[in-house]
Amino acid sequence: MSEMKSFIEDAAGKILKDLSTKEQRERFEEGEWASSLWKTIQESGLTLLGIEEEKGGVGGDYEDVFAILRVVGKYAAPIPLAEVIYANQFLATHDGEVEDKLRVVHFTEESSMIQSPYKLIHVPYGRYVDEVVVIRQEDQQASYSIVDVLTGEIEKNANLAAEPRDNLTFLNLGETKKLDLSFKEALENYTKFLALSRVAMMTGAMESVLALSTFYAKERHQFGRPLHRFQAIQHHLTAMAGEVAAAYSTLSVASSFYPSDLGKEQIAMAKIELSANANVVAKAAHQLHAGIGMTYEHELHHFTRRLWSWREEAGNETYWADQLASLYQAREETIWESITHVKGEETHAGSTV
Amino acid sequence: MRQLQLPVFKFTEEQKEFRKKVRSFLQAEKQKGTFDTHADSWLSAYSEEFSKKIGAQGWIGITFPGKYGGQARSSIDRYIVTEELLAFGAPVASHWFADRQSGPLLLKFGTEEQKEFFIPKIVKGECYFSIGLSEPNSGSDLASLKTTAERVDGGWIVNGMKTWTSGAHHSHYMITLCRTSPQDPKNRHGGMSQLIIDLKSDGVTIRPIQFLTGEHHFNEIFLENVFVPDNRVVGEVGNGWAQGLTELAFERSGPERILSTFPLLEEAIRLLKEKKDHRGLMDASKLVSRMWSLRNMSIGIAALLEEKKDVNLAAALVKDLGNSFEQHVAEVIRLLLPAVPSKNAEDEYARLLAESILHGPGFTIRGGTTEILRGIVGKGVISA
Ligand SMILES: Cc1cc2nc3c(=O)[nH]c(=O)nc-3n(C[C@H](O)[C@H](O)[C@H](O)COP(=O)(O)OP(=O)(O)OC[C@H]3O[C@@H](n4cnc5c(N)ncnc54)[C@H](O)[C@@H]3O)c2cc1C
Repeated sequence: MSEMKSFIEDAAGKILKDLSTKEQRERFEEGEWASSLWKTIQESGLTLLGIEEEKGGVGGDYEDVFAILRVVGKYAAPIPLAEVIYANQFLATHDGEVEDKLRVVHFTEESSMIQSPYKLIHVPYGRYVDEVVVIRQEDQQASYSIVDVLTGEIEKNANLAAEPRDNLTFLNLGETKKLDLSFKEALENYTKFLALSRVAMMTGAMESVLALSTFYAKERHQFGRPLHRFQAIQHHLTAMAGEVAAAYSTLSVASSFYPSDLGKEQIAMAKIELSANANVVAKAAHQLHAGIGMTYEHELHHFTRRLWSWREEAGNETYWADQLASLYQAREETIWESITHVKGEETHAGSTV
Repeated sequence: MRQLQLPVFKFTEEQKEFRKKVRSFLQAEKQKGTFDTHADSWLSAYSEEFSKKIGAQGWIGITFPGKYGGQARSSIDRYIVTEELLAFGAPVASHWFADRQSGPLLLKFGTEEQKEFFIPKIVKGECYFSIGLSEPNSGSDLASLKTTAERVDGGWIVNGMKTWTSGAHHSHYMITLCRTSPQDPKNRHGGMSQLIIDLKSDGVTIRPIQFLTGEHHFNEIFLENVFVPDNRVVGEVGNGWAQGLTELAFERSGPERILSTFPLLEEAIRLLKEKKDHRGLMDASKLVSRMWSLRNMSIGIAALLEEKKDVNLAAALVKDLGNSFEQHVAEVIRLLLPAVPSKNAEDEYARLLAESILHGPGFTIRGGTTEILRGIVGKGVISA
């Protein structure tokens, strides 16, 4: 771990521990934007992480970004940090400079030829963001425009964890600028980033689920002893601990390769893994908590509902397995060669006999 | 929880070159027909000829000091050799325990005489060891074992019985855990010692126990007044339990806890590609993803072990997850590529499937059952 990484990890952890409390999350679900939390995050520079200072950012690399997003998941923070970091990075790259704003990107398959109104489906935190960077197909290329959310209409919608995924309608998207990328490439870049973000956030959420479970297993007594003394409960704890360790290792390896060429395959495997095991953790934790875990009162669901939401977002197992299957089919390499990043030497049949 | 946070380890270019070298050697040997690929080869595919060839390359006891014929290379290099051997399903059972356990044990606790006597032979692939722990009435509860060694002039007289001893009919020696002082209910793990028993000694009877495949794999071993000289006691008398635990993390987190059925997975993916079966490849890709993730953990642990860190909890987790995965591979693959699995099938796929199914139940039993491991982890998680 780089010194920088553990430093900002600790700093973010402190902020979120204080401000992303159970009460804060509950108020958020009642419709109150987490403004002081967001303001603190912005002031700490985290929304500009991974952007060079000359471009208005605070420096840092992708490993730092994903390390912070793990902490966001750990405290189930009701903020679109992954999405905002991406939007800021996007503008820094394509505009050359960025001013910090609450903004997200949104891809729409509809070409710019389509007439208004423009409907943007499932915009993360749509009701709270200032602007949306809308990326569309224009001939072979992608183009983008920046729209002010106040100029549109908002239809509220949310995922399983009550995180806003709103539908926005605009009559006019304003001035468009061309990108040096194809729409497909631009979308793929975003999907990869978002998938690894969800991997990071799920890792953090899993850690908290395990922590809540160990706490409860010590606290709650039945038959005259704490729950953790029962073997069946120890097995639930082990199932969670195994996936927490696997998730952490998966995240660390995948983010250390991001955004290199090897990265895409690793992200696919990482997202398959986390999505598939999100419910291993959620299920064991709910079984261990029993009745209390099914209440709104107990905070377990802040994490398990996020796990169930995030496993679907940015491609679930089916989506990424489809990508991997095509990759395997298209290349000569064996699985072992690709896993070890070492290609065996060509040996000609018969030459060694 | 820090114990669950394993580091990222990336192989250096030099290590990748080394992997290439091992792989080329194995590719050539396979093409020459020296060996066939088997699932679960580390516990069931024996070939003295092959072990000697691997020894001649310097790949057995690769971490052992040069003084005794080893290469003094890192445990990462050992990890690479082990992985390649398992990925090829090569017959490594003969020398497996000597390389993984007995050699390191002797280097750590053995006398100079023992090191000079055993290690050079182990390294050449000529001297094989078995593990004498389990007894008819002591399995998971190993500390209840009954085999005793009584003090006599110049050594010990051993009486008792060991069972499930893998490969004893191929091995020269058995590291035998036995009681050198009476059972003490207050100190269940005390009073035990590790003795090297020469399996050709008077009083040793090895009887085959047929494996469920009908093959001869493990054995029961009767020990009747077997004399073991003082110079064949490993380490300290009475310290056997603690000594046996020291290499446990290597044993539990190694690639053999993940790759036992990998040859089946690789072959299945080759066939699915041949058939252009996209759906099948999708299902198989999920297995590959799991394997990748477990392998990352296992390598992270190997890196920590190289730094002499305590990784017992994570190692137990890797064994539990890895063994479940190894079994799961066969259950997914059989549905993707239906076949009549058979140990004697001409067709490699049908044979690997048979081996993976029939050996599968043992994965979660040998080296500590799933239930026992989960108990260890569960308690570790609570006290962390
Ligand atoms: C293929 C194979 C190779 C082997 N090779 C060797 C070898 O070379 N040398 C050697 O010494 N041994 C060897 N073994 C033996 C192995 O170590 C034992 O089988 C293992 O330790 C379990 O002991 P057992 O079979 O007596 O089962 P038992 O201990 O009787 O267990 C039976 C069942 O009860 C469960 N159980 C037991 N205690 C508890 C508990 N406290 N809590 C919850 N559940 C419990 C177990 O998990 C298991 O499900 C081998 C085994 C296999 C399958």
